Amino acid sequence: MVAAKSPLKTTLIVLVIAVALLWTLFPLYYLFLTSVKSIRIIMERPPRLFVWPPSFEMYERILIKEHFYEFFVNSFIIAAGATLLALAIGGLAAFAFSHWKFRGKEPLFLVSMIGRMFPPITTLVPIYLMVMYAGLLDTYLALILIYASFQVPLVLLILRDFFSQVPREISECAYIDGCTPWQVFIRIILPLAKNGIVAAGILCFVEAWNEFIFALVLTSFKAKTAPVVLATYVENEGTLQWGALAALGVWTVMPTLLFMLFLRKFLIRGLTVGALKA
Amino acid sequence: MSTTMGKRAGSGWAGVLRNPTLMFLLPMGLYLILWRAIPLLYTVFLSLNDWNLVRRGGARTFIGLDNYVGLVWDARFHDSLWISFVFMVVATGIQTVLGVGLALATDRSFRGKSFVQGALLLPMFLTPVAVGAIWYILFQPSIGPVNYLLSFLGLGPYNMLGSASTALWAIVIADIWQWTPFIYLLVLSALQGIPETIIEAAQIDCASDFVIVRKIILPLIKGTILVAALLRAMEAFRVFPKIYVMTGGGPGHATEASGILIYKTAFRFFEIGYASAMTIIMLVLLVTAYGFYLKVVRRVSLEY
Amino acid sequence: MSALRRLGMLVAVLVLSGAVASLAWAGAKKYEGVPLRVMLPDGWTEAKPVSNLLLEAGKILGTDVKVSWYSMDELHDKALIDFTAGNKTWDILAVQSYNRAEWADMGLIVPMGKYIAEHPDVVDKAKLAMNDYYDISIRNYTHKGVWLGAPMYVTGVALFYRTDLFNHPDEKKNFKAKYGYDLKEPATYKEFRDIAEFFTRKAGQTLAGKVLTLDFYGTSHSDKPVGFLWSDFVNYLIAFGADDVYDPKTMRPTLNSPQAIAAGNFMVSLTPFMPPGHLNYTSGESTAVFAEGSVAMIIEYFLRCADMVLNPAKSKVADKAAFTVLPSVPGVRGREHAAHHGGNFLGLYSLSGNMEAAYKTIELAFSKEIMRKVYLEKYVPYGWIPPRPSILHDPEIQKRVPWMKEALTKLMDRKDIYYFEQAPLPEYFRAMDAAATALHKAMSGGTTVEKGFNEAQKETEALFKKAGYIK
Repeated sequence: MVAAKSPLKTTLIVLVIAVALLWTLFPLYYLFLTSVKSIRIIMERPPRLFVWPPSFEMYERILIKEHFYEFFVNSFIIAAGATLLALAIGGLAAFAFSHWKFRGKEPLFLVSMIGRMFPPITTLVPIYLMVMYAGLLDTYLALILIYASFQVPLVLLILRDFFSQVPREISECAYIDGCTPWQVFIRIILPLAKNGIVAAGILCFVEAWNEFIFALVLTSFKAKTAPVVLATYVENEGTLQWGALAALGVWTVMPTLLFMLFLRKFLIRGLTVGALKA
Repeated sequence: MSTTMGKRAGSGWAGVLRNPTLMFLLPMGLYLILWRAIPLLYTVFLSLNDWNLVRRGGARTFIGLDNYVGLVWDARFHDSLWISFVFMVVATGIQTVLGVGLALATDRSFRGKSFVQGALLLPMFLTPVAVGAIWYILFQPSIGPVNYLLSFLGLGPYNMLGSASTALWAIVIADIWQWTPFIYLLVLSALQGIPETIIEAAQIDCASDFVIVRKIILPLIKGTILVAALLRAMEAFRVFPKIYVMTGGGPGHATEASGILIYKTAFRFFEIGYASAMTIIMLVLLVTAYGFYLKVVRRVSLEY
Repeated sequence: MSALRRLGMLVAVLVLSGAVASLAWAGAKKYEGVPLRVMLPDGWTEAKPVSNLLLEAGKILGTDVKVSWYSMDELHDKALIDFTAGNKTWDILAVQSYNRAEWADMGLIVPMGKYIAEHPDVVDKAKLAMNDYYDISIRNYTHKGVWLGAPMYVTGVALFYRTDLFNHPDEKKNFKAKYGYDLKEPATYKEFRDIAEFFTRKAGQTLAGKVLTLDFYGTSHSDKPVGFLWSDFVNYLIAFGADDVYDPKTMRPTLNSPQAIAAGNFMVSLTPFMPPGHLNYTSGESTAVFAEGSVAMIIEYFLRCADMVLNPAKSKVADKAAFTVLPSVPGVRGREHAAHHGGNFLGLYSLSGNMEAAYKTIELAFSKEIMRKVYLEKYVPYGWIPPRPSILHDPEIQKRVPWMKEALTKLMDRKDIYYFEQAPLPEYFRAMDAAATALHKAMSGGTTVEKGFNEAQKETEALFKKAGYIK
């Protein structure tokens, strides 16, 4: 990490960070604002940038009356499951791609990436049929399996890069010491590439959490996820539902904010340990 | 030891279990074949059919390459590919620059660092549908804060989403807001993996920060940057919920990216075969483009 | 939780519920415990009342009614995919009026009329009470001579306007001076346009004696492509004497007929008098803009306006808004006060395994007694308009709903309003897409109505040829 030296540089950096924070947080603030405006003032001109007293009826409606927390839990279980599965499968493959040469390596890599190059919507019907015949409609398992299949190329691409940054000498020493590839993988590569794994994990989780079309189609009651419910509030046909939509949006972001804050601390601690070992 | 793990471990299933390469690659291979390759083949099959769910009671007839021939002349489809392409290039380009810049700027110790880094990641956690909705509200000409704030500078009001020339850029802005954190996260993680010793050595040599960044840091994380940009580009090409919520593809067809057109063709026009053919063409184009791109990435990322 | 564990739990629950059900069988009702799964569109004003009807009926019959809420788009897409894949999950669906032809022809729903004709022993005519529906409700949801499903509300579009502006002496004086006739509820669309033009003012000008701090607009539409724009446009289209996309007698598209182009030009001519965001407004937003007080007149679906505009808890103009019929185009006969009815109906999902229970639940839910009960308990005075005339004319209801009498006189009971429904063609959406996109482009200044509609006509002719309607 580089420490700033000159006051000019410091000011510049502070300015950049301040602008970035403002740009990032203002829409989120406005989202929150929209969620606490009562329907009478939501279309007001000019728009209010501050609301007092805030009306929490939207939160009450969603969380309590329509028990949104159920869908929330569903989303969490599915996203976590898919992430772990994708990390496992993708991680194994990334190790092979980053450490070994073998025939057909590049074409195989390209082919694996194909999975991310077309809109998932178009494989909706065949996957639906597969899931239906397996009797897995409206279950967590179906979505976990499918989302993991979307994420594996992502994990592969990211982890291949991070794994190849682990210095060769370390793994070569291990082989000389008689370690099997599996042991090298578990004991050396994984700890040293921890921040890459965490980053890939976060990105997988976010994607699985926000996935919409397969969740819509493959669930109906038991495994319905948060984005599907959120999308119902985009409907502004009969009434204006921005308040409810915004409340749901805020609710989706808040836990991840807390989650991120804690994970960040863990990440920093883990890194310094990893670097020292090298 | 040699880094070549050939097929020397024996033949048959026993050989497979003893061959580490296969062991590591097999789960992924099988998994992707099951969930991606087979459905894709089905989509290819569908693209060779004329299947309209409503016409003639939903009958499906094999028509060979007729769908593809139709697409060659389909200007609306060409436009949608172009719009997706422009969106992808502009959005990804700006996001990458911003993401890298932010990562470099915040990869230093200061008070409130965890908060800042965490806060900057938030946008990508918001459901794309909600992102579309909030930016739609922000850009509203009469009740949107953007125009409200601009009015203090004497500008506007601008109806960004209602004019064919600006609608796409408005959506690009929303995309940048949402996904810069993606690049930011990856680059930041890579930066944190750079051993301090290298940096300190350069600093002792009295290199200026700017030179350090250019000559040392950037080359080390170049691979990650390219990976992040590639991933974002692939996503950006397939953009859907934001556009659907913000403009529905309008005005006219100004923001009708391929994702929207394919969705409309399948779910509103009920032309499953035609939509499948669109997908396959899109896929072929992208694979070719990324084939080139990946060659570059590979060469660069193995370069140190 | 592993799939196996889940399976085990599911089996346990099934066995348990089977045991309970069989214990209660002795005195049980015929449909006890039958699960009915319903898909309804969230956010549509009439959806929650109908869900309550179903739940109420479920309580009496013993059926286990479970509702899953989706946006209308989601519902449509999901129903389509579920049906195509052969999924039997659902029993009852809300069907949007302009999808009715697609869904009926695809076989997604079993028309209720067909079910009734094929199962006369199951039908309770008193509860069904087909004669206690407005003619328009039956007519609208009939396709190829067969009744499709139970209407979820009644009454189409109406014109809402600001009484404080229309009655203000200064405004009346200025209007008369400018246009030569009295300011009143517009009887023709020319008058409508004049009034819209008259009331469009910039910040700084005076309105009803007060100086404006913000711009004010004559009218508003929901012009988001495709469905919102077309639903608003179709009122003008029909009033001007054009067909809704095609002429049913010849099956030829008539998108570039002189009447259609005149209607298109009329709508484009209104754009200077509307809030700039109208090009992306959904009907909820457009109505909310009126309720917020920035617009003088609006043509919108009566139920929603009643809910959002007349309700003081939701609107800033509740005490200064009134409604009336839509204007007409003089000289166009048979299309007076042409008003789009729209709406949804409840349909029977064709792959349902519990169709009899579903039908009986709907029949009971929509019976006069249940409808009246739920309406009085929960939705007076603003939340709903039940589709049965007997309920609307009920004196107690009229006491609780202050505007009901006026609405009946001006809108529901009037015989000279040409209520219409959108064309019942499976390819309707596609034709609408071409025409609405052209219109949207014209409204944002990218083309002329003539050019746009001519292109849309060509596209639609090709579409109709492919579908085999014309040569």
